[in-house]
Amino acid sequence: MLRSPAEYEVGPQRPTGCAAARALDESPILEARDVSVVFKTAMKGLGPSSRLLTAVDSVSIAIQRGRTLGLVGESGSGKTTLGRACLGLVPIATGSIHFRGSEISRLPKRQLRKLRAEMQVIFQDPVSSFDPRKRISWSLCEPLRAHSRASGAEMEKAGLSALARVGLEASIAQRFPLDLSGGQLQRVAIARALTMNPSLVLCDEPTSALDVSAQAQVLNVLQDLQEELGLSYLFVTHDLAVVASLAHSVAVMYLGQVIEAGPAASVVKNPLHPYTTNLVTSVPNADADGMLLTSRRTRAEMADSTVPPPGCRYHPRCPFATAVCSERTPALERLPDGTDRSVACHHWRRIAAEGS
Amino acid sequence: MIRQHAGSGRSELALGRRTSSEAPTERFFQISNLAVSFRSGDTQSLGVVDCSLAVSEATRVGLIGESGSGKSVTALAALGLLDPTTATLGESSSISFMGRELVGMTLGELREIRGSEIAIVFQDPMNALNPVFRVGDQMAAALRAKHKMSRSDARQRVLEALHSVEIHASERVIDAYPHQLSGGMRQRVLIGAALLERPRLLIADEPTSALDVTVQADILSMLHSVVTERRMSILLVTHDIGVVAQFCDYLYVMYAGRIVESGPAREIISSPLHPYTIGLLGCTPSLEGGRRRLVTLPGSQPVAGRANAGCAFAPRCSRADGLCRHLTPKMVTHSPGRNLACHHPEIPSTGRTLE
Ligand SMILES: Nc1ncnc2c1ncn2[C@@H]1O[C@H](COP(=O)(O)OP(=O)(O)OP(=O)(O)O)[C@@H](O)[C@H]1O
Ligand SMILES: Nc1ncnc2c1ncn2[C@@H]1O[C@H](COP(=O)(O)OP(=O)(O)OP(=O)(O)O)[C@@H](O)[C@H]1O
Ligand code: SF4
Ligand SMILES: [Mg+2]
Ligand SMILES: [Mg+2]
Repeated sequence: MLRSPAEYEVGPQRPTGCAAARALDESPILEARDVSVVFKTAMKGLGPSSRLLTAVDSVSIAIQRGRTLGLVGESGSGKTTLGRACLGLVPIATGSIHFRGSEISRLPKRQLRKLRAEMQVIFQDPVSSFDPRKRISWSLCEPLRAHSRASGAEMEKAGLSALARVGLEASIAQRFPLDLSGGQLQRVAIARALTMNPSLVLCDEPTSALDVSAQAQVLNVLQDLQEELGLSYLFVTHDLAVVASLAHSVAVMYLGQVIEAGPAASVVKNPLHPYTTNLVTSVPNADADGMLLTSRRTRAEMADSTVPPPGCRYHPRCPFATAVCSERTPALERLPDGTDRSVACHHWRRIAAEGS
Repeated sequence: MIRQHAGSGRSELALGRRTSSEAPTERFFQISNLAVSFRSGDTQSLGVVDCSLAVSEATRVGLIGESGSGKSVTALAALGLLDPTTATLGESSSISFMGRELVGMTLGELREIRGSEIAIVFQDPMNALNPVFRVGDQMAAALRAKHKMSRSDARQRVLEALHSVEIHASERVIDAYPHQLSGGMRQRVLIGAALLERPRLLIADEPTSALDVTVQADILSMLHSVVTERRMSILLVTHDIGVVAQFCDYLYVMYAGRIVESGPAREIISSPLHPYTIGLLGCTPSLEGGRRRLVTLPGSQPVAGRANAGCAFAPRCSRADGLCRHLTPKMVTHSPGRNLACHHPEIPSTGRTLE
């Protein structure tokens, strides 16, 4: 009985044929190969000595044009770091990142700056990404002011048209950030990203701070924009249900590594890696009776990412672990059935056969 | 942490009205017509407008609602933990536990009940633990402050409590400092601390909302078996309808400071009657169903007590008419066990009708 909200009509200008033209091009818009990111961390109590933390460990991902790749995994698994590395915002220790065919780590500064304008970011906390003393109209044009020579009037026009696209009234532009709800502000953040006409948007937990009703509004806006403008999303979240409702494909991270990847629907329906299975069965489902409480098969608490366990990093928690799991790190292997799925587990065949 | 009770001087506001259709029967735990207002400077604001809920013995009750709906204020009020210098209860607010009225009790009387009869666990385990003391010492000190017992007896009780929350390395955890434990382990410790005095009722305010979903599932599963084994009751406050579906027998839905629907959890989830509950279920993403647009509710929840006249949900409701905008719907019994406050509820036989 609930009508789809009238408050959320799309803006007038819709570039025709844009999505179609981009879809023709089959190569991924973004491709990361064997990317590692290493941080130096100071150890508490040990003075100046530090140790290295591999936040992202030889990870490869690809995002197709006009598609959404969901990046899931628990807190500290390296999702944000990988996302930022893909946009050239964090230096990488190994590997390469290609955006629209150019390797971004090799580009001269000026060209990188230009490409970066095409890659926008939306963060978890909408409040802290706005200056509380400035009106929305000012904040909306921030990226344009920094990156273009557009006139004030042109910038205002771009800002207002972006607001319309995310289903907000023009009057919002005159208000201050703290007068808006979290969901409205997050839609303003999306509008601000849109003013740059991006082709790829990194969405880092954009709805984690929101209530479910505001989350639904934001997720729908993102989906509509993708359809209209052919945007590609790298969508970072810890919520597998969110991934299931919007991503085309998914990569599951555990302690810095991708341990399973593939089409979102298939991974969620039939997870192969024991960690993915744990993740899927942990989602509190409104429809399944008491499943959550009876299907627990894990062993221990989260591991410390500064000292990853040897072998398969999941082995201390894994109910299927054997000796080999603590000795050798399983490689991410592609399933032979042509489903475009891959998994890094020594025992995935046995587990799949058992139909756990 | 020990906050004073807000019972004194509570007749300042004539907030409470008997709107619930439920006759206030002698129940295990019952909140009736709770209204809470906050004073800051010259302004008064409402945190809870009208909340009545009951918890029977050995049942798991869920209180669900979005941010700002008044869940935490209700939970704090239930134990007299609101700051009396700013919070005032409405005139007809009543909170009773096993026949005793808690509103108006002295702090001494309340302390007798807190911990040993009714215990509470909060969302943020870091803030609830003192960072400079070992967790076991904190728990033992709390125990010894109320009960005469030797150090070694207290330590033994603490170890047992840690065991009961499925901490296997309890000898190691008991001597750890809070920062040495993961978030999930800290939350287990706090639940263990709440269980120390074997309370009959546990109020848990978003006990797992800050945790990773796999850790949340482990802890909910542990909590479920502890309360079942001990025949305890629990009032679980959450914003996650999936958690309620998995955990609770009975459910209260709160919106803008009022209870708007209540009933057996499974029934509400399979056939919600209030338009807000229907919307809440529709906008929650699920693993099934694949890529799709979610149902949305236009606009956002008004601040409790600052809604316009009539039903607080009316501005977002597709069924709202003149009646809804002018007359606040009362909580009435819709069918056995199902109560709701809506002028135009869903007709149950047709089930959920979502676009
Ligand atoms: N600037 C930094 N310096 C040192 N260590 C860092 C830095 N940024 C991240 N880390 C560490 O790298 C690891 C991965 O962090 P990251 O923020 O990428 O995880 P995440 O998956 O996004 O987690 P969350 O879900 O909590 O956001 C963590 O152990 C984190 O502590
Ligand atoms: N100490 C206080 N002083 C003034 N207003 C308060 C106080 N505590 C809560 N409120 C207000 O009371 C209302 C209900 O808040 P409450 O914390 O109970 O919401 P909640 O349902 O627990 O939300 P959340 O899901 O965000 O925890 C809110 O509008 C809040 O701003
Ligand atoms: S009372 Fe009216 S406005 Fe309120 S929920 Fe029911 S139908 Fe909607
Ligand atoms: Mg992150
Ligand atoms: Mg709360």
